[in-house]
Amino acid sequence: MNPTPHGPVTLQAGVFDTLFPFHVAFDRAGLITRTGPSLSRLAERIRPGARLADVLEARRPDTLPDHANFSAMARRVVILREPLRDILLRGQLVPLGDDIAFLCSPWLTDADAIQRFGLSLHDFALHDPTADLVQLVQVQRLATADLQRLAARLTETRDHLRSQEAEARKLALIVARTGNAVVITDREGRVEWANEGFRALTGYGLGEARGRRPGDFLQGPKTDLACVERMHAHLARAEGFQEEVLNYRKDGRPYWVSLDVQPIRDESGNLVNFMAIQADITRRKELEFSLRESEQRFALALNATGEGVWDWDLRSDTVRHNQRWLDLLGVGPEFLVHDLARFTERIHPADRPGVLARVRDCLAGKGAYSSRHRMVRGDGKIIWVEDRGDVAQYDSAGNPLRMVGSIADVSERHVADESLRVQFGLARALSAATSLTEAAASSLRVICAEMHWSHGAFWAPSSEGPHLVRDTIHPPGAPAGAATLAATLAPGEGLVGRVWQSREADWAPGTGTETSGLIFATPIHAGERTLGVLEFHGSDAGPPAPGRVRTLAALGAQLGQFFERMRAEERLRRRGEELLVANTELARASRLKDAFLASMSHELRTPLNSILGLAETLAEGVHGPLNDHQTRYLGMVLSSGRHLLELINDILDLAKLEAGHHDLALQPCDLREICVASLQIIQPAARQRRQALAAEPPPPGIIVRADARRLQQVFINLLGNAVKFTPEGGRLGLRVTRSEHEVSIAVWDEGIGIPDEHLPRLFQPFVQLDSRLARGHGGTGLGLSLVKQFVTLHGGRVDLETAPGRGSTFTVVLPLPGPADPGNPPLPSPASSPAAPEPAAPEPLRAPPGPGPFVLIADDIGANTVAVADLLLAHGFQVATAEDGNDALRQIRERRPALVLMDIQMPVLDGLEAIRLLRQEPDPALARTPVIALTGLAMSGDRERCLRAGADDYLAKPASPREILARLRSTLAARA
Amino acid sequence: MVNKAIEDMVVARHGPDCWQTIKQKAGVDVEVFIGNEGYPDSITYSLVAAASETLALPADQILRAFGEHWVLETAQKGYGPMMRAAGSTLGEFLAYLPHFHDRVALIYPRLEPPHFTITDQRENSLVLHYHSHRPGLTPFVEGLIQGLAKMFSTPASVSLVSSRAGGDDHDAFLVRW
Repeated sequence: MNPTPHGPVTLQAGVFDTLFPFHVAFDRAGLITRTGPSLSRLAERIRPGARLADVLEARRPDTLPDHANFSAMARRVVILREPLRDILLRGQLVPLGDDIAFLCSPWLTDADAIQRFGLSLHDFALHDPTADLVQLVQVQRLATADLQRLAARLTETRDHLRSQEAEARKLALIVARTGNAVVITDREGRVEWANEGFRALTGYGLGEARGRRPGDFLQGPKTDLACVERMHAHLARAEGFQEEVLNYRKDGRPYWVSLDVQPIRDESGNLVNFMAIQADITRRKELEFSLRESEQRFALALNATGEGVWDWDLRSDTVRHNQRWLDLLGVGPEFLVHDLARFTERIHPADRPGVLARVRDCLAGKGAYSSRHRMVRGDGKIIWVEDRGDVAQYDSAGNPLRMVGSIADVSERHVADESLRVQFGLARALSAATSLTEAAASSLRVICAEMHWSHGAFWAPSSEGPHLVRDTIHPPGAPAGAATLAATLAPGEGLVGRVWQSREADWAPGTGTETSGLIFATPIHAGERTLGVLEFHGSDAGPPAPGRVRTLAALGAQLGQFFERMRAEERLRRRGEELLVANTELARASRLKDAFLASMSHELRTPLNSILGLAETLAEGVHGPLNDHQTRYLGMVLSSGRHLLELINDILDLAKLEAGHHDLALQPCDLREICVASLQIIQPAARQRRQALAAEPPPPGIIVRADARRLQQVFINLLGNAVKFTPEGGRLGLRVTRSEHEVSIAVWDEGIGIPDEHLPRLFQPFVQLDSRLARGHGGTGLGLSLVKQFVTLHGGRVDLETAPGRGSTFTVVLPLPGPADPGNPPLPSPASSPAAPEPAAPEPLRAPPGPGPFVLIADDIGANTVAVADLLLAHGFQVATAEDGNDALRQIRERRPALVLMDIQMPVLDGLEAIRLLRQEPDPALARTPVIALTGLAMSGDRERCLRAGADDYLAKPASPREILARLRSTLAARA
Repeated sequence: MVNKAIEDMVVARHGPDCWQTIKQKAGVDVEVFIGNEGYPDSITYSLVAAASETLALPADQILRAFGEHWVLETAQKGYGPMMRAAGSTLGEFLAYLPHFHDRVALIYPRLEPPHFTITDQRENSLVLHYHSHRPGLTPFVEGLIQGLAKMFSTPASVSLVSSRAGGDDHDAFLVRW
């Protein structure tokens, strides 16, 4: 070492390394020439031979040191960076021989880095302050952490203090303002502080109270000394306590306080003060005293009312009673106070669940408790009580604490109520019963339920001998202690037998079971007759109350009357059933008769038509002239035959009507058309009798709802009667009037009239008013009956005005459908109609409305026309008639019939000519009108003549109805 | 440092309430001991006395326990990296101990830290000389050495070869491992 101050200093390499363990030296070429041992440990790449620029980066300044910039950089701190481990090296440049040395230390900011870089404190030169720096940072960091902890602690303490302060302020305010008196004493109990409440409560200000013991100036003559002693003992033991104390104000007035005293201790637990809070409870105390007094008064009052009182404390589950309760229940003083279980034991077992449920409802806040039930007295007797009560006290949460009530003996009233209830119930049950068995069962059920019998039985006299049989029991199934359903008793045997014999209600002790303490029996009687015995078993011991005996006897009588009535009704019902069977049989027979008649009539008509047809043929001289005798006889044959045919047709109709087989085809029809057609048909008959037919058919447009064919049959029938019962040359006619709702068709004549005595039988079937007349005028006796039935089926009626010798007027009155049709023309009222109508020419016959084909019958013989028309009408055809060939042609042109039945031998223009003319009609449709020739010409060649003339078919008289219909239908079908 | 060691160990082993009791008993009103702040020595002695009374243990025993706890628990939280950098063996560390305290004395002159010297350094032993103006903390230093031995997982014996109590001007510990 050279001691010269400015000369070169020589250091051994080891010393140099110790002083600068992190140095690095490099030559002019930038190649590292040596490194310190610690730097080699820190960064292996920094080693001799390596290029400085390859292993280190410039940070400050921003160029790596070299020999060129050395002189500038030697005067400043140089910071280089080892890029691989991101280590900053801080140091300075010094010349080292020809090289330059960078004397440095790693820059560390925390102690962890020493270990992280794989170093230890021993790697640093002792003079290097890096370790000091790291330690300083370390200590500083710990100190900062301590300071942060302190700051947090202080913040926490401050917040705590603030909240304590707020709480303290609040408490101080409460203490100062509270209505309660608050006193702070020292450990000896001498007042140190008192609030305003203390002054208000006691009248003593703080100045007067300070330094004194409160007891010394607040307690007085009536203060409870035992209580004072207790308080002193607590204070002496430094314990808190609560007491209710009578104190005295400064002005001498007493008052009650609830006193709460607590010791106050310091942090070490040493007693420093007492704090006393006094609440004025004078009012409450007064109420308590008053309540106690009123309870006593109440108890006295209750004893005076005669009601048995119960007072149930729910907390202790004990029940208290007054003397009256004990008397009612017939129990001793041990029942004055007892537990709830003993109380409920006195309730009749059957009523107990209901009673307890009602009590629970009351406790649950569903209103006051009220119950009528049975209670068992000490002597076993059962009484009915009216029990009422309610919750008398609740705790602060609203839970009931106490329930108080009273009972009254209502046994007598109950018997009366029960009597009414059971009699009413029995009446209702009996009214619903449909048999004796049902009545017995429902009676037992009602009586057992209403009178609380456990079971009952109905005993009836046996039908097989002089003994009683148990008929019905309730509840179904043999109850305990009772005999089986088949049990029988002789009169006088057992209670039931005795009652049966004596006819007096009676009772006997039961079998002693819970359900049979008492047996009761009462007779069922109606007047002098005993119909049975009712037997009941109940739980009551001892004789039944007299009221119940009366009730049961009354029930026996009530049942007796019912049983009697039921038996009468039963007899009546059986009679009714027998009658029903007889009626049914009768109706069946009647229907058989009708069916037979209908069938027979049809079968009779067929041969009769033949008879008539043949007779007509003979009468027309087809087979040669007849002498007078023959003509007269044939006339009789024809007259009798036609009468018979008419009779058969009417019977057929009537039979159908009575058998209910006549279904009318009701539809709107013009009344005029029906009237005109009817008049047309009757006109030949009237003419034969030289009668004046005054036809006054209504104007068109009066619409009735009718079966046109049947209505026409009605009018023909009435007009036919008029012809029959009017002398030759007399007058008859038809006129129509209408009102708002009805139309009247009157058929009048100036005939023989009908005597009054015949009027009641006028419309009965098979009745002819005068047999002489019948013989003179023909008729079946069925016509008017049919008229009436058909009109009735139309919803109308038949009125009659008649006077013997002056004539009759039959008026058919029909309802008009709905409101009056404005199109219906007004008709003259009967008063304004001509008094004597002139005979008028019949209107051209027009087809009545109806569903069937329209057939025109051309025949000059009215009877033939009527017979065929009747046949066709009966089979659903519409019919019109013509009297000769001309008339037929005219009607064919006007009315376009679907078919013409043409007679051949007719006056004016015969049938053959009429057919020829028809076929020559210019209208081809009209010319083709189908024609069936119907004639008595049955000679050979007649058929051909008719067909040549243009007829479509040919029928020889007499033709059977079946044949007429068959030909008619086949001809129509061929044309269709 | 002793104060913090006492607090840390009491709180860790007996809870904060016990620490408050001890502080209260010692009449110490310091909320938090700041690491680089100097406190009167009386505080330390009062705390040791109060702790001894509260925990019903002799002061020596408690101080030893405090020393050991400081090394093994308290120092690990803040001084750990520095201590680990100071040596990888007990011998290395003890040898570096004087440098530590010299440095602290420079950085925080108010702390008046003790100073240590090492003599008779052998491969498995040395003599640690402890110079302090604070009497009575010898067991604490002994606890520290024991704690270090545990830290380096090195079974060691510590014997007081000279002591102020015995009339010497300082304490000296022969540490063998």
